[in-house]
Amino acid sequence: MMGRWQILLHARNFLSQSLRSGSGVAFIVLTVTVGLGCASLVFFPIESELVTAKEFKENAAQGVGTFLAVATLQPGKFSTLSEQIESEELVELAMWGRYLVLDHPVLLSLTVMLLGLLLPVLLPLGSFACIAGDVQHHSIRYLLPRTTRTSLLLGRLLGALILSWTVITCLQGAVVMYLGIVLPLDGWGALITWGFQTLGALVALTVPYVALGVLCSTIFRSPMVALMGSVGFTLTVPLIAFSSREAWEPLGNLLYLLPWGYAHHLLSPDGTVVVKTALYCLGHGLIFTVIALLRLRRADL
Amino acid sequence: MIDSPSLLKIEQLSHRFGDKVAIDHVDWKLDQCGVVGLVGPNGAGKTTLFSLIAGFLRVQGGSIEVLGGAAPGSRSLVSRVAVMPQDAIFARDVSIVDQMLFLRALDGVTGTIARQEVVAALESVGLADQLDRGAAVLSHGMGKRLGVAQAILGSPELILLDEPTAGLDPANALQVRELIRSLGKDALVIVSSHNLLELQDLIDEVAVIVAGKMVASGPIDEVTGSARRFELRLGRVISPGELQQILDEELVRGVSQDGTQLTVDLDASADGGLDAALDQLLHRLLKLAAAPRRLREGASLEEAYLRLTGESEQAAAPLDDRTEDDRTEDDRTEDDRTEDDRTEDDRTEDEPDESDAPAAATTSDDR
Repeated sequence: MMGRWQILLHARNFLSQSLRSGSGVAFIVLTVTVGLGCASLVFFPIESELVTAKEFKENAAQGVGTFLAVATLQPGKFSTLSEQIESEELVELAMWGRYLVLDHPVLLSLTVMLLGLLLPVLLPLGSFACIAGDVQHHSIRYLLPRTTRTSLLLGRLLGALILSWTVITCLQGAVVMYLGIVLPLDGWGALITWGFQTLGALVALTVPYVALGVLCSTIFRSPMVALMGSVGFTLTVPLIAFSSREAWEPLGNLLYLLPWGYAHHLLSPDGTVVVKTALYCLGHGLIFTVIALLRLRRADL
Repeated sequence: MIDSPSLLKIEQLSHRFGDKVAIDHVDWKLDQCGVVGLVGPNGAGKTTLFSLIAGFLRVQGGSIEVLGGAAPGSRSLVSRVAVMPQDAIFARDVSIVDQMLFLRALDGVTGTIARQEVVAALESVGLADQLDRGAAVLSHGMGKRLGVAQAILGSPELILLDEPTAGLDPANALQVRELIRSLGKDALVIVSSHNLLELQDLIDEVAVIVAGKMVASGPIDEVTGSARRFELRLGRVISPGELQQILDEELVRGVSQDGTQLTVDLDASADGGLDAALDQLLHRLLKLAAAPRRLREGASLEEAYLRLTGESEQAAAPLDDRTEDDRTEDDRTEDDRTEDDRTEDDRTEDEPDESDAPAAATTSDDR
């Protein structure tokens, strides 16, 4: 009981300190800016009347299909993939593209897909200092006599998750409002329903990357090194996986060290797949959390 | 017979940082509440020992049992052990009252009661007027006092204070000493300090650690030999023959001379105890027509410390004459001492030269 109480206290304290600290504010500002930037990028062609909504959807379905083909590691070159999708050789991916673009508000789908690509790099900003900051200044020594290391870590993780979820929810809310009011291509009902579903996908995606930030924060004693470690790992995994896959196909599986390899399934037309993928994300987060716990419990602080 | 559980029991404790041995097979047992001093040269392992007891560092070798058998850092010790670390800092931009309330909330106490306790703790270290200020605006001394205040929040049974009065002005140092003394009535308070004069009046027991080894520990009277050593100032300089006569007395174990200053170690273990030994010494001096003009009982903790740590020659030079390289953060306490902190005896020009003190008199092995 006391443990749970302490976890909540640590979470609240982390949130409170994040909002006062430079790193927390930087995380919020950067995430909102990048998120709105993504949305603006997607909205721009229609807002500027460069294309009609119909043209945009047709092109977007093709683009989404190609993106999914790359994400699901389909063999072949970019141009071949496009042709395969166009000729509906890759039936499932073509259906998936239509599901995201034709069945749902396309602008929201595309914004969420872009966020899914960028958030993994942004999320460590909200969690990199959650342990390393206190270790570096030894202020953790004021806390340890009054709490367990487990409560401290879980509380800080919860705080970082709540912070990230809050920022993402606000961002998603702003995008949905804008789409509903300024670019009313879809009805409010479709927007809100799809908004909640995609928000759920982003919330699930947040868990492993925030947990990775916390893990790096327990490994490195300097917050900046923890941040670089976390972002570096997030970026290096797909780069190595894609480049080494050419040399030896199984090396492409390195993508699965992080949710890069399966995160796109969070937007799958199949509900069961979505739930499974969300569980994978939680499992990934759990693995990082357990490693972080083991690391913190054995660390000299 | 069943042994009552110790408040702190350390057996064969060892700790290394890479190749450097920081703690070397230390045994230490403390059974009663009170104030205990932990002294030793810079780098001797005091802070490491504190960190091990507090659970900040993992035990590598040996064992530590805290408050009746719990391992350091274990769940059962949460809120029962308080620590004032030497080098930790508080959050700069959060008001100190909020930080203290958070610490108290971790103990499970919130609301009005917590606030009253926090205010009382801050008042006890003279920081009640700083409640709403952030740690960023606190001076070094205020930060130290805040560290002490957080350590006394609640009712901890074991309190570890690492250099609690370092950097404090005399009035605040006195206030903190009084606070520590009062805490020692209900808790085991272990104080690490380089201010040995301050410690001598404060502590009930002392442990001396040198190069990671515990070279002496026990009640302060035992460690300092204060029940046996006497310093006398005579009316004249006595001859070597007379000195030998004094040494020949049955209950005199050692004697050294520096001008009219005589340092005598008495054997207080014989029948009649210290009184008999003193009686014998004074009779001999009266027979020699060398009646003492002044007699001071007891070697100071500083003398015992210098003897045990082998630093007497180094310390013969005043602190300010030592090179900057020799001095570290820990030495600041010495600089911070003022005339007000020193006893009347310390100010006398007849203060004995520690380097001349008999070296064999009161080592822990002798007792």
